[in-house]
Parts: sequence; C-alpha cells; structure tokens
Amino acid sequence: MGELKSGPLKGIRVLDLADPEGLYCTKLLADLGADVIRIEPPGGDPARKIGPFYKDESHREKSLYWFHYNTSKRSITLNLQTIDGKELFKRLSLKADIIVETFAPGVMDDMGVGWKKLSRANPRLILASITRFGQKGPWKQCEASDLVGVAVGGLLSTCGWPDRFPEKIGGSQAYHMASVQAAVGILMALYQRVKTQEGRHIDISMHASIPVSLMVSVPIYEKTGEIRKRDGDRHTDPANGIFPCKDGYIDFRLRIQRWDDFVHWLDTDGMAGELKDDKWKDPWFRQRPKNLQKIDEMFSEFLMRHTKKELYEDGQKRGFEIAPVNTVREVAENAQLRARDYFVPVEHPELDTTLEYLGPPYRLSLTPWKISTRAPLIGEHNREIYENELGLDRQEITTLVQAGVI
Amino acid sequence: MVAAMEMGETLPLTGLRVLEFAYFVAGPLVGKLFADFGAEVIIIESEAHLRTHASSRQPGHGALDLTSLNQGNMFNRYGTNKLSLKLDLNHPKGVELSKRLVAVSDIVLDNYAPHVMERWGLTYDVLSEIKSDIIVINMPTMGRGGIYRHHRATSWNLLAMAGFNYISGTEENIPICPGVYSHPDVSCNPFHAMIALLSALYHRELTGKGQHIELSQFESTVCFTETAIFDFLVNGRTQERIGNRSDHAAPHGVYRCKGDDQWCAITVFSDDEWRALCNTMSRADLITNRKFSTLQARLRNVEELDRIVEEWTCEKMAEEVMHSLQSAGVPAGKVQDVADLLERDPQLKEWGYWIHVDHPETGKSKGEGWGFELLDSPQPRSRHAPLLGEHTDYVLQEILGMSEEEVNQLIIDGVIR
Repeated sequence: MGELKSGPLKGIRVLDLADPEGLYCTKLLADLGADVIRIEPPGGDPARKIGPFYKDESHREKSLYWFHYNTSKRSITLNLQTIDGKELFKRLSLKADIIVETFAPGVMDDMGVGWKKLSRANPRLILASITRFGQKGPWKQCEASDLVGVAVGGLLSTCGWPDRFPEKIGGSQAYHMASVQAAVGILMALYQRVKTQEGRHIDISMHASIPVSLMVSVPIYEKTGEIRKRDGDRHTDPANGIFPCKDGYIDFRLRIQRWDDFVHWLDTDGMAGELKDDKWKDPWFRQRPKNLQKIDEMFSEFLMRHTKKELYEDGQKRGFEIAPVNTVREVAENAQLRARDYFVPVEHPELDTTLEYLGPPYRLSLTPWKISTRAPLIGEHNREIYENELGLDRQEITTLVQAGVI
Repeated sequence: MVAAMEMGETLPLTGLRVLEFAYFVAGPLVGKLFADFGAEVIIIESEAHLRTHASSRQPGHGALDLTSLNQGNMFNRYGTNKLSLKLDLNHPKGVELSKRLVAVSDIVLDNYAPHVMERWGLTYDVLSEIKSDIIVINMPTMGRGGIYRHHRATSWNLLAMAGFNYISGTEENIPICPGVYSHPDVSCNPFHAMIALLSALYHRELTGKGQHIELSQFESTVCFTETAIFDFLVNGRTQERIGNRSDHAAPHGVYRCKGDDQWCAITVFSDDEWRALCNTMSRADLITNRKFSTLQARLRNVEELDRIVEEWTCEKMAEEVMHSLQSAGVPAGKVQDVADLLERDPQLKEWGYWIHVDHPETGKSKGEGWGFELLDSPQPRSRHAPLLGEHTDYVLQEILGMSEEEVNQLIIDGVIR
C-alpha cells in the first residue's frame, strides 16, 4: 500500500474513527497521500448502510456513500469495547501521526484511550476530536445530525422560501463544514509539529464551524437590528436571480455598472423597449420595486426566447455573470469538467468494473491529489496490519477473531 | 501590534509571510486563516485597481467612493490581522517591488480572474524564478484551462453550475437554491484552498520544494455535492429532490414552533430515538401503532407523521422542543437566526466564537471565529483589518530595507497610491 501512495502527506499515518461528520476530513487526508486506516467494528461500519447503492443492491460492500467518503483508505476491524481491542488500539496509536475521532466528549477517556494517555505514550500524536458542539459548554452532550447542525449553526435560517419552512441546501453541508475545518486544524498542527516535535489535541465543533456562512447578515444585524432570513428567489436587485428560459433556468447577476451593456443585450432582440430611455440609467430609479419588477419581466421575456446554452455562451462573451442552472446530468456531462478530466476512473475489481468518481478539489503541481485505491472492503487490511506491522502470529489473530475483537 | 507575539507566544503559522492578491470573500478568507493564526499577511492593493480589491473595500456595490475605502463590511470582516501595502501594480515599479517581496515570502495567494496576475506578469513561472520554493495558489472560478477558462462566475453562479439548485429543495418548487448568501465562498472554496496550501507547506518543510496550486472554484464546489452527482455517474440516476427529508430517517424535518417564524429541526434515525420522541410528546400510543412502528412504516406515512409532530411542536417554544428532546436523546435543534447566534446561544459563547474587533473608522463589531481550536495553544489574534496603505512604511522600510527618501520618491512617482 505504502508504495501506491503519493502526495504531500505521504508517510503520515492516520487512524480514522470518524462518523459521517468526519468522513470527508479523512478522505481529504487520504487523497493527499496520508495512510489512513479506517477502524471498523467487526461486521463493518454503520456508514456502509447509507445509500445510494451500486445498482441499487443494498449491500455492505456496495454503498456509494461509503465508496465516496473512503477512497484511498485502508480498513481494519477492531472492537474497541473489548480490553484486547483497546490494547491493540493503543499499540496502533504509538505509530500514528493523527487520530480523527467523533465520539461524544469524555468517551475516549472512559475507554482508557483519552488524550492524556495517548499523548504521554506518543508525544508527537495529533488528536482531532470532532463533535457536534465541542468538548466543553452547556450543549456538549447534545446530539446533532446534519440537519440539526445547519439549524443550530445558522445556515438553515437563510435557506428556503419565505412562505414555507426553512429548507436546507443539499449535500450534508454541516458535515462538510466540520470536516474541512477539522482538516485545516490538523494540518496547522502538523505543520507546527515539524518545528516543535509536539502533537496537539484539536477540538472541532460542527456547530461553531457553520456561522461563518451568515456573512453580511452579521453586520446588517449589528447596524440595523434587521434579522435576515430565507429569501427564496426574492430579487433585491434588478436582473439578479434565477430566471426561466426556453429549456430550463439560468442564474444571472447583473452588476450596477453593466446597465448599458445589459440594455444593449436585450436590444439585440429588439426587446429593450423603454429601458433605452435615459431615466433608467439611474440605479436608484431602477431599484424602486415597480421598476425592478418591470426590468425582470422584460428580461424574462427576452430569456424565454433562448436556450440555456445560447444564453450562457452569449452572456459570457459579453462579460456578464451568468450560468446555466445545471441538472445533475448536466453537471456530470459538463464540457468544462470533461475538458479538464475532472471526473476520475477508479477500479473496483470485485464488481468487475471501473466507476467514475468526483475529482480533485485542488490541483497541486508537484504532489497531485489522487485517489490511490477504491474504498476498502471490511477488514481488507487486517492481515497486512496485524500480522506484518504489529507482528501478531496466526494463532493470536485466530484467538482475537474468535473473541470478537477483530 | 500583535498581542500573542508580544507575549512571546507562538501561533501555529507564526513566521510565515503571505502576499495576498485577493478580493471579495473566498481569497480573503484564506488570508484571514493565515493571519488569525500568526502568519504575516500583506495585502497588496491600490486605489488604482478599481476592478479588483477596491470593490470589496466598498460598503455597498455602488459606484466607487474613495472616501469610504476603509469602511467596507466585507473587507473589514475578512481582513483581520492583515497588513496593507499600497502599491500600484499597473506601474512597472509596483510590480518590481512586489517581486522583491516575493523573494522574502512563503506564499502568494491570488483569487483574481486569471488574466489579472498574468497581466502584471506575476505568474507562477516568474515567481518561482524569484524564489524557488515559493508556494503559489490561483483560485480562478472555472480553472486555468479548459474551454470555459475565461468565463466569469459569482458564487451564486457556481451553485447553479455545480447542480446545487437541483439537489436542494423539493420537486414542487422551481430549482432555486435555497440560501441568501453565497455558500461556496465561505465553505468549500476557502477551506479547500487552505488545506491545499497547508499540505504544500508541510511538504516544503520536508523537501525544501515549493509548488503551484490551482483551485477551480467550480470543481471545488462540485466536491461538496456528496453522492448526488456520483449516483448519476454510477447508476445514471437523478435523485428525487426531497428537501429536509431523508430516506433513512423519519421524522427528519423542520417543525413550526410557538412564536413568530420559530422552527426546530428534529431527526429520528433509530428505534430508540423514535420511542424517546413518542414519550416526550406524551404519545406512547404511536410506538406500537403499525403506521409508525418501523422506519419503513414511518417513511411510508411521513406526511401524517410530520403533521403529528408539528401539532406537538407548535404549542411549544423552539428552545423547549430542542431541550426536552435532547434530554431524551433525540437529535433536535432550534433553527437559530443571526440574533440567536450573536446574542443568546450559550454554547457559542462558551466556545468564544465571536471575536471583538475595534476598527478606527467603523467602530466595534463582532467578527467570526473558527470551528476548530488547538487546545493548550495561544488563541487567534483579533486586530482590526488594516486601513488602506496602513503598513506601507513598515513593509517597504522594515521588510525591504528602503529609506524614507526612497519611499517618498515612490509617492512622488505615483507608485504608492
């Protein structure tokens, strides 16, 4: 496995005990070259039950959720509820650079593998503890899913339609926010460790990783007391928002200083009408609700005559901030992503196939991002690690298997 | 100037120098991460660059107002702990001086459109000639290559391009991406950039080698779609848009509570959580009701289930719903708005999330902190964002060793403006 790995984090050993809120964190480290060992309970990790599934076959080795978040990792099984399991974990932690865990505060201590013990045995260890609310404070024992995370973190209050309930943005944003902030903290500690030779315990709160998304609603509230809430598609500026066109929708963001170009664009179809009058050049005039509505209506009429593709290409040529509202299929088939080979093939010998995966979030010239292997099978690397690395013999392994430890 | 350093404490990134060529949100947030955690981050900016950073120094998006360049919300939020060097990069001497700074820096951070740094001649090839182990990141919206490389995009455009509109909300609504603000600018894009930079820095410590990082904001945003696009790539399927619901938990939604526009999110994954919810609602009868006794049954009858839950929540305050369910072990949380988070949330207070910043022109305000904390370490700094050109003398004289006369000549020559 070691020789398959490349990337800036090559040589770094990570023990991965993360639930879904931390899975993206360890995926990021693994795809950057770290040797991430996923520790699963015997029988397999609960995340393997999360769909969708390959060809809709509900099976522990066919979860696309598992595939996506566990690329480039290895897997061992280990029952941390047993004394032998804890001993093996301690031995593994001696050789680890980083441990990522998502237990409730205090659970690692109760299991006898808390920060103090681990770091005494391995002072260079970095322990990243990702929790819903952090290690201290009145809510530290509270539970949260992704939806609860975006609710308490503030993002959900800005999402949805004003006449409906708050409605979340897709893609598990609370888990992702916790994961990326965890990875940043880990890498800061890793960088600092080069100089100090000392590890760190990092406290990551999913809750506190989200309010950054409130952006300007913070200064607006501080200045005016206004609480910004979900706006749906309310257009606060003319020609700003999502508009239907001939074959779908486009997203258009007109800047004030581009007014003349905008009118000229409508005029190419002879549809600028009265907007050509000089009085419309005044941004304050355009901003009046009735006028704003008028502009959006005329713009919509213009848009309905054209397709997404025409509008995107022509609008971009004119330097507007315009984008097609892509369907899932259109993202998968997107010409720019395809031209840059964004999607990457990953072999799945057991399924006798190669699947296309989402590609790199970043491209490093010298030490590229890479999916080195598909997600591991349950305990796929037990022998490699227990036998070759920890030096257990076959008899010992058999005993541990029979005792339900691995 | 820097509290932590005066006390002799070292933050994780102390000793690093970052040159920031950035505007709006995603780039400046990366610079803020560096600056908050100890690096010396120098913003190179000028009144002459109207189309680049000066626009984010504006309080609104209106016509450029030179009298208010120190009052822009966005700039001041994301500019904490940074230094400002006033330098006109459209002047050859401005470019030359910035190159002299590159020679003594670790990182060059750029989120302008691709042609901007190219026009100034500040590309990776040139910069790595000046300093061989420099780490340069460019964050073009569409990437530096490919057929749409010159295309523009705001972060709303990015959400649309990356498919977020079609993986959010429900079928009965047109695909509007719910959300007032530009999510990729404060989530995937700055944090992915920071992860790439820190990894490259770590690699440089071991090998002495710098490198060039490219982050296409479009690609980085697609990485935050979880399995929706992947499911299409593998199974050829477009998932149904199910909004707040889940296909492996029920109830899983946001429920109206007592008061004006108050809501609580409740999610029930296991049978234990289901029993706890029923008991808390004083509806033990539901536990054995065949319509709801299993997850499959609850998913089948989810509309009715949601109504039952909301009948209970709408009589109670959101905080009460949250805490009574939490005490019973059910994940639940109030939909907190900006006032909740700034004024009331006791957990964020304990975390010390909001940073008090005092700015000479805009006064006191609360700035955002981060979701991670390195324990037993000095805490991030909280100096206000720099005034335009506030540190020009410091940078040119202390870092580049120029004399006062030389600096004055640069003002006369129109290089510092």
